[in-house]
Amino acid sequence: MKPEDVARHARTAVPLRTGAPWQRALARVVLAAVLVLPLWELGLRRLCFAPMEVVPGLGSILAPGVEIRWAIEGDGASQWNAAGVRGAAMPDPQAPSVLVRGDSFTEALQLDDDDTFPVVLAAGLRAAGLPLPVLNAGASGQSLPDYLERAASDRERFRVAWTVVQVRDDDLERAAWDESRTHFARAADGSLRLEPVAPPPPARIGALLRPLTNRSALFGYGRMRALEFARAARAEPPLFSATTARAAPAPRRDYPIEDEVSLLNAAWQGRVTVLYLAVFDPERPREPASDTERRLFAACAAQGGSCVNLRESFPEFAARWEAPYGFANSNWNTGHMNAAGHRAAGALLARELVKTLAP
Amino acid sequence: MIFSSPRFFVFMVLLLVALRLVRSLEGRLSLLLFASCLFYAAWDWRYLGLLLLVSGINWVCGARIAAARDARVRHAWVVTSVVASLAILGWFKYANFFAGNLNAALAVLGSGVRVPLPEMLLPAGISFYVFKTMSYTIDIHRRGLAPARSPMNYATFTTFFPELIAGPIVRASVFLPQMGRDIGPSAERLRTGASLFLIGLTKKVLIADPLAGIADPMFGAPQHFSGMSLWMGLAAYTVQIYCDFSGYSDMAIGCAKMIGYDLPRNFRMPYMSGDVAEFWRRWHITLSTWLRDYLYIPLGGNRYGAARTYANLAITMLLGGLWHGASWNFVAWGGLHGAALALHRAVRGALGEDFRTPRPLAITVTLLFVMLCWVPFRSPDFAATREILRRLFTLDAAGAHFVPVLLFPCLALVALGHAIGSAIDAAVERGPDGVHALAWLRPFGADVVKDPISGWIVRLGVGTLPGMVLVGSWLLAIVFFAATGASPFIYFQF
Repeated sequence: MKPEDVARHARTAVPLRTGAPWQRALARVVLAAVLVLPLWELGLRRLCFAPMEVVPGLGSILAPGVEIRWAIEGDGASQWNAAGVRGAAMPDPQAPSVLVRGDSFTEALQLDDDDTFPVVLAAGLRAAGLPLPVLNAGASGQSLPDYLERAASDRERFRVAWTVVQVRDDDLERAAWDESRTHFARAADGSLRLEPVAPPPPARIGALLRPLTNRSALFGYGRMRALEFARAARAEPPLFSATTARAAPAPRRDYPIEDEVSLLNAAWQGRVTVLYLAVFDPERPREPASDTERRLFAACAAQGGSCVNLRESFPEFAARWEAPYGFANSNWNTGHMNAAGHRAAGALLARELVKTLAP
Repeated sequence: MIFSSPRFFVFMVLLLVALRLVRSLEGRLSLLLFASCLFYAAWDWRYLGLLLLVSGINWVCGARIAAARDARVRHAWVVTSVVASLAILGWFKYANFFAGNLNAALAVLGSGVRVPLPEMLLPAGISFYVFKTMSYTIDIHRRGLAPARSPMNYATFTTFFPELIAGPIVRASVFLPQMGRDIGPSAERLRTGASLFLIGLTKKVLIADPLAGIADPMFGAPQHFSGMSLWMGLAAYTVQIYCDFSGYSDMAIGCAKMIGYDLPRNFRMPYMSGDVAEFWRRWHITLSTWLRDYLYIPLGGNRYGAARTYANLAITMLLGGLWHGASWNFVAWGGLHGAALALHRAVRGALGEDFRTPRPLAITVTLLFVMLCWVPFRSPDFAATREILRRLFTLDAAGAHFVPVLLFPCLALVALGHAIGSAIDAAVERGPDGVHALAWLRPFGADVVKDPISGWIVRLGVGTLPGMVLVGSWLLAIVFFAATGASPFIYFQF
């Protein structure tokens, strides 16, 4: 081929790269998304997949029949049924049962089913000749007023022989008096009453995205992260402030713990056990960590209620240099209860309930 | 307003858009100066006045030094500048420390006299901007720098927000010559700056912040953890402080690049150092060179014999330690490094320049030493330091055997980063042939550019499919795994 032929050929040859630059860029984006997103979806489905559904009468519950995965803190797989109870099978509404109400510590997405304290409790009761099913109705973000609000409907839905209510300090203090949700309030006569607050309707955008967030871990976890970022942004300190060297601590509010315990016992006609999750300090395992803890157990004793303190197991934890809270992929003694904590809570509850329920 | 907070992203985008819209250089500089003041005032508007006061003092002194013909007058003005700057730094940073120590000494002597402790906040970035402005007058005094042409140029230099709070410590001799260039975002600047910013952000929110959750409880209550767990906590802090500080520096350099300025490199794979002297050539480079040029060399450096050299090293590092904060722990940290530098110099002198320790062994020993020095640096007091060191060295089994699994991927990431960085370093040092050897980065849309001030910079790109996949996955990783609470950078407290 002569040089002039080569030049002519070069002019007429079809270029290897076709299309405008923006078309090539778009093709790259699409191709990259096709390659990357499925891999992320697979990875995140293993790491965190917890779709929610709104069920009339129950509110927002973990989607029934879906395997919930949670490996951000701990590593657990669980299934939840349409009654908002942990387990694949619907509970028998006619069978007498023990109902457990609590927050994310009871929900325990960080653990597999067998490691949670309601299952340990059920095993303990069975071993003592009390084969009662234990229904885990733990739900993240709930608090004591929520459990009280549901007490009547729980009795209608299940044949509740006994109720266990898991609380931490916050459930008796700030969260119980948060006026943006169902909370405690003082009646005109000074007595304590429950002030129900209807949950806000789900945001329209949330409802629109629900089919997507419920089917895809990528979108579900992405939505959760977006909410976390928004929360963190709201918590940032104000700009252009004149900060003082040492801000005085806010005065501590005095919460009527004794009245709360009384209301709780009344709501379940005394057929309730409070499981209190105390703060663990390995150097002072026996010492109550807060005034609320002291007052709760004093009120319990005075009112003849049934209360179990996880602290009872703390000397053993301290002796083993083990913590009831925290996971290897999070932090030691911080965050949710680990399997050892659940085992201890289940054993303490079994001991208490065997004593209470034994004929 | 910290670099990893959503507010900063809004601030930066608005600034870049505004810089693009303003036509004249004067207008852009005015806008940049205003933005820098806004950035600083966002933390606490009252201390903006202090920043402007320190800047003003050094501007006046610099002008007087340049105008004076008499050496004594020049000297008087530079002394004024240094004394005024150090007095302000001393009052805000060290008054409480010295008053507290004085009270303790008086109590030991049985005196009932008590010096009142002033209640004040440490102004953000004061250690950095005082050193920066001091170097301006000292350089003019040394005739190594002409004074800034206009107050606007000078104020832009002293308040330049990317490096204002936590460095790198930029000298006027590096920054002022760039003032004539046209600033504002361009595609090239944005790509380079955003690449650096992304790398820095990754170090901060994906590595440093999660590792803080491991290290903080261990240093807070070391008596709760076994010796083995504390070793892991120490490893976590070693990685955390590097990723936190170098992450900030990367973000600062990246922001400056996007605006149109070059800042000096502050870190160069410090945990690959073969000895402690090399460590200080790789760690917080702008501080170590500042201390070398404005403290060690004026003290006499190595010009007056071995004993004086060791003393100079010790003084420099003790003061370098004190620069980090008003605490005896920082002084001890500086003292340890000073002693190690002196020892290294003595051993090297005794064994001769040709003596070489096998590189892996040298890196391991240096890293171990640096890690152990972080113990007093991070501990709240000497009691905690003693307790941690005791448990580390005795491998005390009493305490929780906590194995934080998160630590290991973070260690692997930092080791990978150091390995890639060292490979690029070696290639760039070989010259054009070496840079050519980095062609393997191109399929990933990335390349390496050399920069006379910032060293080399890896630029990421989305021009290829692997590049798009890499950058996309990287961004998704930040969205999904970054710590959400915008936690302050460690060096903000210094």
